[in-house]
Amino acid sequence: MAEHVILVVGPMGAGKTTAISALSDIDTIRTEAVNTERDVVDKATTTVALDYGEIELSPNEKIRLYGVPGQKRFDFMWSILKQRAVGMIVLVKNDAEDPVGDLVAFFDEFREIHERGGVVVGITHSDLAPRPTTYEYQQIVAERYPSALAPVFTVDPRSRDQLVVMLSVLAANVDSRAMFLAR
Amino acid sequence: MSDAGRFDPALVAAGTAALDAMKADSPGLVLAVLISDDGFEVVRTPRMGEQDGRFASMASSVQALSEAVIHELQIGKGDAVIIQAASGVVIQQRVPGRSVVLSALFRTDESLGRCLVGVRNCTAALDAAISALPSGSSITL
Amino acid sequence: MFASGASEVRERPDTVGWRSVATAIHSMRQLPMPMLLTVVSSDCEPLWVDFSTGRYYWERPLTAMPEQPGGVTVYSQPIEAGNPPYPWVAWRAMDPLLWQIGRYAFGTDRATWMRPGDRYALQRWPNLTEIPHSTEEIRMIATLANGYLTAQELGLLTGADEPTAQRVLNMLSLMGAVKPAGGPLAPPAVVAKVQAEPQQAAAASTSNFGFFSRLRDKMGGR
Ligand SMILES: Nc1nc2c(ncn2[C@@H]2O[C@H](COP(=O)(O)OP(=O)(O)O)[C@@H](O)[C@H]2O)c(=O)[nH]1
Ligand SMILES: [Mg+2]
Repeated sequence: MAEHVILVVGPMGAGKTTAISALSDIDTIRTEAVNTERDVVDKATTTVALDYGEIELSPNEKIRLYGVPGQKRFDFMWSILKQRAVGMIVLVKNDAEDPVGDLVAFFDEFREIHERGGVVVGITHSDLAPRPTTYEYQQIVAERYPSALAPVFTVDPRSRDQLVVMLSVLAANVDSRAMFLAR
Repeated sequence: MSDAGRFDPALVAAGTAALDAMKADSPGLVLAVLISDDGFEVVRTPRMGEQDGRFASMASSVQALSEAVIHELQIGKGDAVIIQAASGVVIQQRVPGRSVVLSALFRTDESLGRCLVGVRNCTAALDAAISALPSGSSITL
Repeated sequence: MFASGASEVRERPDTVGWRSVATAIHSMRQLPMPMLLTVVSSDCEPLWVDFSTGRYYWERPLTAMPEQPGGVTVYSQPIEAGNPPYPWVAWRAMDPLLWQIGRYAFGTDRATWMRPGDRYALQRWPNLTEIPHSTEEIRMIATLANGYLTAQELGLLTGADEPTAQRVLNMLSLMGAVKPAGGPLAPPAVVAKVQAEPQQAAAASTSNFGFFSRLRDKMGGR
């Protein structure tokens, strides 16, 4: 059974849970709890352990999608989940207070996944806050992580088509990288 | 970090009373923490010890994962989560129908049955106390 | 491919309209000062491109872009940094425009500023959620993300023909999304490996991109 573990990471409210349920074949496994931090992000519930979804590519090949809780206080879940991941989708909420800081924090935290496989960055809520632009994010990523060349896309996690583009690019990057490394 | 400031002082007071009562009844109790569903500490007994809120976050993840398993296997209403180790037993239980969870660590010389009874009595007392609070209706699932 | 004499004529469309725009855009990209480009055509509304903010304004949606605009004139003027022109119109990000102009400007010929045998590598990803693209184009961009390649090698590794690969390089180059190799470079080892196995070269699109292909088959996407 071939499996590709892909994490969806990013701050609270970025759209991770929404993205996983839009992509998954199965009913997603969710761990939502009543959110007592409405002052930080005004939504009723928040993920406290993980979101889990699957995409079956063939009877013996699966993508396992794990969404992590966004808050730093759940970083023990991050450590558990990142061990087997070959790729990650970083979602950044563009209308948050410091979206660039969020991107950098998650990129740093999960950089071993980038070193092992592929990373794609999705800028969400750009309908509500158009800046920073993907171009500005790419310059920041290029400066901080010269070897990364991470794709940065705007994405609305409510749109399955856009999520498929992101996941496709992640897969193409994993394949392309393997092709260049093969001997 | 104690997160008590974010919660209704009446809830904190009710929690303190319930946890202290459990402590008095259970000599094997090492630590009991009342947490919000999203992993913040409401109150703990004894009042000192771990200060970074990490246990509260972990307890909330454990509770959520356990409830996801119960849902997946369709095995009815959840009761307690038990984590048994060589030198301690953690028992967790949701205050029935409420968005708060009790997590308690016992020494292994306390029998599992007694630990379970202690936790169950405490969550029942918490439920009654919360029902009596003006803010009680907001602490529901 | 073309049955009649008439369609043979279309095989090499007159792309001079977008070609002149593309050439102007490419040279403007090299300039240090902020510039505004205005394109006037007898077929469509004026098009403004503001290089200082990477945006454009056109009344027309890109889906209605003519492949061969008539009577094109290109004007350029320096603008004040930090004071973007016409703030009252709805400017849009420039990438989708350049991607489309790059597609039409040179057909499958080499862009005028590129030389045969030059190697290119990706330096930033275009925002693909906003740009109409094909499965083959994703494969090519991901391949350029990992090495410096000529159009011919890019085609070889991705199962595309060389003209198609050249067109993608044109489009990416116009967007400033690829960079040329600083000097002469040997081809990456994988190129020799694929060349040595012609069987594999023919099926490069699926053999080198298995995970990607199966994902596209499952999830859809052209
Ligand atoms: N307007 C807008 N809303 C979005 C976007 N992405 C997500 N949302 C909404 O933001 C809310 C938070 O999403 P959620 O998936 O719970 O975020 P999570 O904390 O990352 O799991 C949901 O109500 C989504 O529908 C976006 O790009 N634009
Ligand atoms: Mg979530």
